[in-house]
Amino acid sequence: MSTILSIALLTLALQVIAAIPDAQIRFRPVYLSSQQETRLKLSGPAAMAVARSGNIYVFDDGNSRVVKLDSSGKFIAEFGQRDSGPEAIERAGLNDSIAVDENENVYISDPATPKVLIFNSSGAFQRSFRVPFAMTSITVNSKREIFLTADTPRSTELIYVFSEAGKFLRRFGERLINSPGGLARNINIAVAACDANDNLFVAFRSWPLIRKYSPEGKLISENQFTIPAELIREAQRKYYSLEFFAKNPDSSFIPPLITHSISISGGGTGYLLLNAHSVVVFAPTGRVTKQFRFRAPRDRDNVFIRLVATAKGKASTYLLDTRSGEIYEASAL
Amino acid sequence: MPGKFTLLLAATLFAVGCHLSAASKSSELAKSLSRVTINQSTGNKIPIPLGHGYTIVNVFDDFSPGCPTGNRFETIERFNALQPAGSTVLLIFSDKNFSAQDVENFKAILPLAESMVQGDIEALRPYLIDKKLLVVLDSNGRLVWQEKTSVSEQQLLGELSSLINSPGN
Repeated sequence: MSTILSIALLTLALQVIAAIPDAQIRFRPVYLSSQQETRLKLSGPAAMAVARSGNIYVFDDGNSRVVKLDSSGKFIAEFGQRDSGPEAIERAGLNDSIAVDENENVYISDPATPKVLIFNSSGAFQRSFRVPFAMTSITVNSKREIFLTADTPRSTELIYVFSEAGKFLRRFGERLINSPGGLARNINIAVAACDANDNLFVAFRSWPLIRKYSPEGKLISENQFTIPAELIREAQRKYYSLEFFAKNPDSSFIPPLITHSISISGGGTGYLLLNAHSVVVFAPTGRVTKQFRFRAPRDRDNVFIRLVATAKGKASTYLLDTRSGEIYEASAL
Repeated sequence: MPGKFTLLLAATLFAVGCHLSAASKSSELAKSLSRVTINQSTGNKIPIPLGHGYTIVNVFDDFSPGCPTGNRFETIERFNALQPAGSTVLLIFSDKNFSAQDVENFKAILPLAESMVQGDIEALRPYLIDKKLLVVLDSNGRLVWQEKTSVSEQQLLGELSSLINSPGN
């Protein structure tokens, strides 16, 4: 990143904390764990992906399995269960650990092992490969190249790309802070999603920035969004800068902003889901077009949730409540 | 007097027994090390290659950052940064859990690429500590040092550095 860009980001830090307007979003229940028999209940589901067909795949973290539902929420299959041999998945943690490609192959990043597992749409295990770092998200492009965001204290790139067969291809993406240390590590955690043209969008978990990369990994744009004011107390604001993070990489400061998930619709509109029930909508260029707060179906604070846009042209979005194991389809965002 | 003699004999036997037991275990480990093989790209399997000085061998049955195996990798990195003269580092990843492609990926992503190989470490399975084991062989393949349980990575690095820097190496 150029020095000028770094300075711009530092000075912007305090300017992007503001109140976010509320929006009325309606949620239609698609899958409610509380109404399912025991075997079908989701337990702390961590991640969700929606295929072109409308089928929904959920990384059911507490049960260490993937659950496949149809678009109406009907249970179709489960796979990757614990003790199922080489195809067993362990846990997703708080990571966006599932992706689906155009042919509905399912990609799981298991940060516990750590490895990537690939299944077909029927849940048949295809292959797996190991990676030497923990991962915070996985996405796949139309060439079935697999993009992983690395969670590592090493001063290395943000994005690692592997072929479908598991061969390491390339890495790219400059870290926000290059210092070693726990805080620096947290600040560099990112989530990523590919659009239909194989561009890659990257959002940082605790820094209000969206980057757009070309399919080859060239940085195309950087756009900031607003940090909801209620997330940051007045006393915390002076610490919330890249300059502070770089100077205090081992500080115990816990960044209050959390970007839970990033998703791109078939039409190219992007969505970030932040904590405090806040959504950032961005254009195919990466420019932020809208930001709002919504009232969650159960109106809980700090519920860990994911927002997933379908890969179809129709901009359907789904919300996953990881605590209750409920999935909702959201009205137009 | 006979009582004292019996006590002395028992103590001596106990001490000798312990010593023999430790030596025996070490000897068994040395034998097991000789059964470890490295997978070559040609498909051949060869014994652990020995350097002119000490060969530091770490076998990995698993690898996970933040876990003992990942921490061990960092220890070896730190050790290697000391540029230990005359010694060779070899990191063997179990072919049960790591494909040849996995190891190639690791070599492309992590430091110490020249030290990483895939191999059959099954003979060492009973000796693994937290899914890994570090041993040091001399140029004749004799086991001169081995990792012990409950030793911190910092201590281990200290012991290893002392050994490598000891006179006679």
